Amino acid sequence: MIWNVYHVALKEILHLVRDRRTLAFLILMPPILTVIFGYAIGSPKVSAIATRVLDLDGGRVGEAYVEAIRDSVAFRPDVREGARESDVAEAEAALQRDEISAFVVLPRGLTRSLDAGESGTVRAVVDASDTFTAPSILRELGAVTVQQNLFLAADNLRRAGRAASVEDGLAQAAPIELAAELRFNPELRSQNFVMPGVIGLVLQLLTVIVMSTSIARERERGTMEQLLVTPLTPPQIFIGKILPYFLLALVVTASVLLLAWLLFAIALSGHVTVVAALVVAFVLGSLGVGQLISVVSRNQGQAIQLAVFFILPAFVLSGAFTPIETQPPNVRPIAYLFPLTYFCRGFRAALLRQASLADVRTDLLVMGAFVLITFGASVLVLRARRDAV
Amino acid sequence: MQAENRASATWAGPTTQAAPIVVTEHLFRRFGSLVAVDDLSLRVERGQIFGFLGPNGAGKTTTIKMLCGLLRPSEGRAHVAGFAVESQQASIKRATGYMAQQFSLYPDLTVEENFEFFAGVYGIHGRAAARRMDALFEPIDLDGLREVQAGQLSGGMKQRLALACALVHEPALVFLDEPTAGLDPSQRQRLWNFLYDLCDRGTSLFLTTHYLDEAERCHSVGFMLRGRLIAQGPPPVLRSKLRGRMAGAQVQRPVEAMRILRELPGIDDVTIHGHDLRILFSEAGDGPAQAARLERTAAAAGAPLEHVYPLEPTLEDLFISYARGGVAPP
Repeated sequence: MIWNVYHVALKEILHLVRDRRTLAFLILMPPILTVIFGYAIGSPKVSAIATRVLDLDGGRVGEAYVEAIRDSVAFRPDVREGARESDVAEAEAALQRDEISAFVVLPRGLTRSLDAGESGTVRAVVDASDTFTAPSILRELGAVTVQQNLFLAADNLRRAGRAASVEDGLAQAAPIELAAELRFNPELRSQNFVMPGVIGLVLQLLTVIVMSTSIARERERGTMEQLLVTPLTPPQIFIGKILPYFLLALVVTASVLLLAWLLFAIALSGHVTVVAALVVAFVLGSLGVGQLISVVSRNQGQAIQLAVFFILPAFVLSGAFTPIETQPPNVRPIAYLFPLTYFCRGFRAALLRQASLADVRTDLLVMGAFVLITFGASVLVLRARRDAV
Repeated sequence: MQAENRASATWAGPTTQAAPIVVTEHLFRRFGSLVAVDDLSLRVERGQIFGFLGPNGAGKTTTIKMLCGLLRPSEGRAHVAGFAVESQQASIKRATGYMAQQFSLYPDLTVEENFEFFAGVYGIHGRAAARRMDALFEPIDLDGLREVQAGQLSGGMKQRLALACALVHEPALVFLDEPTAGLDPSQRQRLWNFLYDLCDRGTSLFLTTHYLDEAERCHSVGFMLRGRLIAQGPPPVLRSKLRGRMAGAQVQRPVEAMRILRELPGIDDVTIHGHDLRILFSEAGDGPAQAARLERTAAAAGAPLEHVYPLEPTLEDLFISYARGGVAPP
């Protein structure tokens, strides 16, 4: 039994060593993707949105509003002081040409009407085709408007002699103060949230792809039949095939975690046991999924298609980059079909909440179940092939 | 034949030496509505080279796969090396070797690594594997190629390596699915010498082939047609079924003559061999009288024959007539 597994594993290692290019790819791809994704997905905040500001007012209120927009990192404003009505049509055209994402119109006579005790309207025209940017623009402009209203109210209080200064007026106009305390990730470092997802995604990519082609390749070459006429049993074939890739995945994990530490300051000190347990369960679970894909595929082409069909939804739905809570409730259950979901959840808990082995036991158990189910199913499928119609 | 069975070291079933190495009883294999193997009852004696013949798609490979345990029979029983196919798979795997039609070793592994892998999974490690490699590689001239990747080998060398891997555990029986396909005549000759040598040392061989000259070299053959076994026995016995029914004739325009002769009563089949025709009569007759009758009817039909002579039937004659339906299966 042990010898049989050893010989299959040795053969797989020889395949890997002979195919230098693939081996180099398997070892280099994860760190490279970790760096790319780590920087690319690290900061999901929208900034420097091209926005045109048309100040038709030219008064005190308009100027203050323009200043507030200039101060916000969300905008890259193109301010037109002394703008006229004809500039509004030009701004519409610029929005159409996608040169700007929004424009703000401060109407003529805004300062005058407010000084007269009337209300005024600031127009904001926003390109809503980008559903990610548009809400950010509205949120930022809303904040600017609230802030300007407060300043005006405070200034009015001062002029009316009911406040000693603008600061005093502000305190009267906005008596409620929000005292927020940030826990677990006080600096709001997005890397702390994103890196577990990146590492999980990269490991999943490596294990599922590499494993899904393994049995399919034997079938394509006709060597599967040769294996099946030997005394090798299906479990021996599977374990022997998984073993080298399991070890490879551990080496790759170490390199990726090292990069995460060096580049993104993700330190594992204090969580090593928990993360190690999660990695082992996740890698085995993903290899199991790849194995099952391989067994049901007739050739490597089919196997790769199936692997992509599994990897892409996992990428989007597992909560690796966007929280599962952002998905519609009827889609959420799909997330629980991917080992990646449990890995990310457990890894984040360990990294950010100092979770212990007991805290992540559900994630470990579910991933363990993935290993057993995929392994058992692979054996059954292979046995059933003997009766194939 | 008793003398050939002296290899007591090989894996053999718990039966006596005289028991057949392969027996099937009413074996069926269906793929959906297709009946690939149809009521096959076969008997192959121990220590022989058995040739399994028939056109493509006749069910030969399906039968071998059932006997090796790669496919489960839909119906019927089979014993291989004394073990039941249905229940004693593990013993059959140890007692048999299988060389597939398609090259099925690892092209990126060297000759040596391929052999060591298959030796290993049969439980032969280290020095025992090295001894086995020496013993098998020397007679088939693989010794100088140990470090070569299998994918770099020529067709004949690949075939020999595959054979060595199928023989690594000294099986009592080897299945060879078209072992000589794609080999040149001298390579075929050398492979056959090796097969005889193997047989001489007590191994039973079960092979398929398209070459009917090779079939003549088997101790016994079986002929499959559309899933059914339509003839079985030693080649001389089978050939004798056509004795007295063959004649050759020289002719000027063979294509036209063949067309005319095929329509004549009493003639089952006519084939062209250069300037000669091979003619198969419906019934056996006495040579000279039959020849005279043929010359008369042929001349009357407009196809004068120049010279009619008696012919010894070959297996090819027999099987082509089976395949064409020229001879009703027994």
